[in-house]
Amino acid sequence: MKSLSKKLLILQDIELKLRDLKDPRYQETFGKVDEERLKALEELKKKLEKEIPPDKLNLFRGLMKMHGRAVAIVIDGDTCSNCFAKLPVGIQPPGDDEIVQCNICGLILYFP
Amino acid sequence: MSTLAELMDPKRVKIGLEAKDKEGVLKELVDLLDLSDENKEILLEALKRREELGSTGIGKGIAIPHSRSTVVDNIYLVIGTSKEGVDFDSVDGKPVHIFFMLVAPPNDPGTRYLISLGRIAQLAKKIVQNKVDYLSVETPEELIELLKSLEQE
Repeated sequence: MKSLSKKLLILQDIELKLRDLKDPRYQETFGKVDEERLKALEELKKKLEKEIPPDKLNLFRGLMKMHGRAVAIVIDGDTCSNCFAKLPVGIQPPGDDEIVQCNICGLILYFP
Repeated sequence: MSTLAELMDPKRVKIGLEAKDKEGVLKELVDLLDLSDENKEILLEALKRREELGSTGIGKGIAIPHSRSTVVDNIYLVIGTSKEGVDFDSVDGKPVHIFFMLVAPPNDPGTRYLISLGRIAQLAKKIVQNKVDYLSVETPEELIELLKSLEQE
């Protein structure tokens, strides 16, 4: 089973993909993506959203709206890949159903 | 960023890809990036998800696999060639001999990602129009020189 932060990471990737696919500059290079395939990706997004608790999904949505991204990777075990702030000493990867946010930029942290 | 050449680095070029199928090629290209195994896996999944929407094999032996991903800290271009060619479900059904893989982080204020994809497509057109013999090149440095001069034409 995927952890909540991993689901949010995948959801972010899908949202970014959908945004690019609809951009005219992208379509100029690769043409329009087949509607059926686009629909399949939208379905995958909906399925994933249903697996995420509403409060966490709202947080994700708010961060996406505010920053254009919602999830950051933890690099070298103690640094947020979004703002490069050092995370507080002792910060641990959350349980599968929990999330941890960067105390500086607020993005949801994914511990690889 | 003004040119694609600025994204080219011999460390991210592989002459003679060993993989024989689509997933293998993507993996081999991702392996050229300095990422942990788990981050490579996440990036590979994102690239495969894009391929499911339709192959990025644009025909004439060229493919441009691409994706944004949280696991990369910058925009990276990875190039690979295969003399034998790889079945990549290309639009013309022909094997692919040169791959331009572009990956970028989610935050990309200058939209370098979309601009670079457009530039790669232009470069691909030049490769086809000029019938560039990129498969006779033996080193990453030579391939970069060839592509740089082509981009400047």
